[in-house]
Amino acid sequence: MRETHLISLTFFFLGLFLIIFSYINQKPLKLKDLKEYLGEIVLVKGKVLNISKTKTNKTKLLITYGTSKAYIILPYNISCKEIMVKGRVSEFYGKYYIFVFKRKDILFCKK
Amino acid sequence: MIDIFVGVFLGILFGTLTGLLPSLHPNNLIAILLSFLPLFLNIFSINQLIAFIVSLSITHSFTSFLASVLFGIPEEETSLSVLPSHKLTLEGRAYEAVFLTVLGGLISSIFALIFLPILINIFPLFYKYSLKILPFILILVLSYLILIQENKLKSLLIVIFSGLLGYFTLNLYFLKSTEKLTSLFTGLFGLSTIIISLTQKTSLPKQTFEIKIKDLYLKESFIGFLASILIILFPSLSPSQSIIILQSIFKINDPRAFLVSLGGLTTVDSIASFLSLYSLGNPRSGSSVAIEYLLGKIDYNTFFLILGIILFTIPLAGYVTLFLSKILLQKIQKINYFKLNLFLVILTILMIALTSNPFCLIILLASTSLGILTHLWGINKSLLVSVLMIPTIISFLNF
Repeated sequence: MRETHLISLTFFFLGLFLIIFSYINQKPLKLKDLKEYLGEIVLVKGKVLNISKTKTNKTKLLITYGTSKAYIILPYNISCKEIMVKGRVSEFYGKYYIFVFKRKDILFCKK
Repeated sequence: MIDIFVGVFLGILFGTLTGLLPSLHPNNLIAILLSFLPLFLNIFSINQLIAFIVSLSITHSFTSFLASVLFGIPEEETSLSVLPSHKLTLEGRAYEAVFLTVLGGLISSIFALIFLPILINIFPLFYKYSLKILPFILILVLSYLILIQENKLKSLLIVIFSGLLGYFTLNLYFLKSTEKLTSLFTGLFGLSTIIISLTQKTSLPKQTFEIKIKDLYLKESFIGFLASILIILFPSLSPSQSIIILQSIFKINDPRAFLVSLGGLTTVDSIASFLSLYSLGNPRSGSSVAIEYLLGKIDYNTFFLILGIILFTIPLAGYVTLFLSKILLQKIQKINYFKLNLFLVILTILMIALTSNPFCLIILLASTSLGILTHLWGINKSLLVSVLMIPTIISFLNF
């Protein structure tokens, strides 16, 4: 019985360790894969090509990573050359948008 | 009109499949539907697709208990049904367990329809404030759940372990939400229970199809209905968390009463997701997201079309669930239960390996081990819902 406890604990911590390791080392998603993640929260990174405003006065950044492009929508004014954010994926008329809600979800902003 | 019925019947058919096959969720089918939408729009009308999505979701809310009751493989919504239904199954009353969830679904739906006009008007008023107090309510609930356990230290450890597992898993952004939740809940509540049955060499007793119910369980069905209202008012509260709160408040310890409430909650939760889309503009399930995607904001007429489809689907889905459970239970009795459990372990692992990212197998390993550990320590498995509660508290407290 004691062995079963130890085996369960060992497998749990082994699994948890691998999950934490993957959490720390997770890479941003390729923009071309965004269509598979509609409605999900993802990490994306890219070079900022253009900064504009939406009709509701939110900041809209056009980013590129590889050959694909996507828009990042933020409720804050921000200016970066390269950015990495965590946000929810949406699609309107064939364009992909990543909505960021909290400032702490801007993980990286190279000026 | 006939085209809508075609959509409904297809929804019932596929909702039955998603209920029976572990790891297959309506969201998987809806994702396929949306991915190939132009193709489907060439074959079906928009109304047919709406009928399909609504009846798929409602039917699944009934049939999802089949995998949970018969095989012990739950989803997030039905995870807490594993233990009471397993208890009834071992008493030879698995059919009664399914019957009780169907009864809860039917009666709670009637409550939902009676209170519909009030809910449509009240929701928007409460919704704004509910989010602010959510983390504190969750902390209170969690503290209460630990304090009522016999071994508080081990209970606290299980809460911490589940919280860590939930937090890091739910923040793995290369996995889809359904993949993460399926691996977590299948391991914590399903696979761990089956593995324990395997080691204990449990055999399936002779099953009876006679139903012994004293009343219509109106109070328990109403609790199921109330639990689904809690979910709408506190959007990140999961069905299992919501039912635990009310289970504690109303002291539902009888497994039969609990199954009625859970059955009610699961069905009303499906109905409420459409109500939430109409009343709050907040789609809270894969099916309501799909309807919003197809139509944008839904108007009064569409809402009543959806309501009509729901009313038509509920009795049919209930009947199909009972019919299937009877047939499956008769078949299962002739099979060696040990071999069946072994087959289910292999099937579950294969389904996750084939339908999800391979990394989900690691989540499955950790969650199954934690589920087994909880059992070995003699701690109530309901504490394992900390896997969602802790990440929700962290997220709402803005850490």
